[in-house]
Amino acid sequence: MHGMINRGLQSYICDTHSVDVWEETCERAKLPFYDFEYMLTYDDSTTEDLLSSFGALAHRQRDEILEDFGTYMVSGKALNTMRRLLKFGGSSYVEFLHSLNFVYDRAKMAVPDLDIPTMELVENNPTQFVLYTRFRKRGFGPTLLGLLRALANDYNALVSIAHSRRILKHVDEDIFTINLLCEKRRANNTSELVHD
Amino acid sequence: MGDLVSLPVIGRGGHAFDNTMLNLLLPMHVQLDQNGRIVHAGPTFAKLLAFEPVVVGEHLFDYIQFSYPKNIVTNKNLAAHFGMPLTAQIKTQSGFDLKAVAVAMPGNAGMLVNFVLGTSLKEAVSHWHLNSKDFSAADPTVEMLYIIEVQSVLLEASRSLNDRLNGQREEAEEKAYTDPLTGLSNRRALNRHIKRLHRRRVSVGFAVFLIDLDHFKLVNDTLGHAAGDQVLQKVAGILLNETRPTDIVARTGGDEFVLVLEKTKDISPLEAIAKRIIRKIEHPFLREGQNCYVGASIGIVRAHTKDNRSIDFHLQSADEALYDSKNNGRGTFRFVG
Repeated sequence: MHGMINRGLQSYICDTHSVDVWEETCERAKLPFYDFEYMLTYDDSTTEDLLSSFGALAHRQRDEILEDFGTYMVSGKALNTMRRLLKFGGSSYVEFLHSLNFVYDRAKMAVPDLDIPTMELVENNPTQFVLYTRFRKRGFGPTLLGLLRALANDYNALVSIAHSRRILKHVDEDIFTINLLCEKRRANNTSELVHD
Repeated sequence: MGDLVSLPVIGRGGHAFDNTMLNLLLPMHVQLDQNGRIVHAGPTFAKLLAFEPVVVGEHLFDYIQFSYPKNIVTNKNLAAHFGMPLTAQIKTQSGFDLKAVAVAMPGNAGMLVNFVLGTSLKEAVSHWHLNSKDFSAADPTVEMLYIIEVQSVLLEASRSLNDRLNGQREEAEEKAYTDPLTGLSNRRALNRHIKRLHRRRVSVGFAVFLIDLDHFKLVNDTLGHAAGDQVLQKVAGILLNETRPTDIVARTGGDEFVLVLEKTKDISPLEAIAKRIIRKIEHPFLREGQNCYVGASIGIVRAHTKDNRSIDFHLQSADEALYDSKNNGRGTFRFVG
């Protein structure tokens, strides 16, 4: 996994638990360091070791951790850039959903070796959308679920999201069915997009 | 956007562009009449000027100042620059660079000026809370923003990584060139020093002292290694005191030290230094109530960088002189040749 993602996990564990928990996680995962570098790429097993060590330490399931991590990407203080870029996609949740079609290419353009899923949005009707994501790395769907829910919250949209996973030969396909129950458009919806 | 005059822009072939279309294609454009009054502003341009409510009828030059070319201060000046690259600033919000291009509208109906956010894109986006809908759907601004945002994160990360690596490198180098027990230079540092000496443009004379402690093994054997280490540290202090900062003092073996002294034309100061070193090292020092006695024998070689000999060559010669000193009852020094 790319250093940016591992570094994100590091921020997540440090911010939502503590630096002590993070360091203990690293110890248990037998990492020879406590800090991930943004610019380096790490072995996938490193991320898996981190997740299982942290899960054992915090008595939490992998899926639950990843979903929470997805939420943290949007609401956490440390990953402001991420949130800014996602929210730049539009002034409403629907606009944001449509912008997901471009996220993969944009991210690849900015960080060519970043590993993120490809995404395709299908609009069934104006209040129902299906997002198909495919990722070479297995079992990361819950991260996106957390991210989609957190952004709905951020846009003040009331949604229900059903998540299912298909294990294909080379990739995981995650399917998110998003039903838009209500979206309150605020006059100054983007006012939170402040730079700090 | 309630326009006073909503004139459709007639394209070639008589196709009309209405403002709805222009707003989608050029959300940061503004239309002016022949007197430079604003007839219509695209939605993003209106946002930038804080046109709430619409300020149709006002003069563009009350809001916008062209910074390049400098002489555009009237509508007529602007008309003289149709199709040319322009840069402009918003008068009420300094620090945001806009790029612009102006064209004449068909039928003598005034002009259209289209703006884009220039290098201050990132700041502008956060200042006016812009999102992708504020730009044309066929505009690479969003992509640019991705690159800008990610680049600033990575740049910060790479700066801190470089700082850390640099610190580690310096530390590693320090270790690689230092004898950890005494803090003196080691053999590598000595080699480096001699190489640097030879690299200088002006050739220089220098002297190499090869110093070997007498009775050191006895101290180690009878008083223990801790005592031996203390003796070595004491000797290091003496040697540093007897040399100048530009000279090098190295510990090259267990109880073997090397000095390289520069600019030493005369023999007598070298003799004086050798004598002082031997006298100071011979002076017993008290350790845990016991006196430690060691001595020193020295072999000295005088050389010149223009001979272009390696440090090993000089040390070999110095070793012969040192051997002489040892054979002459120790506690003395000999010159080569």
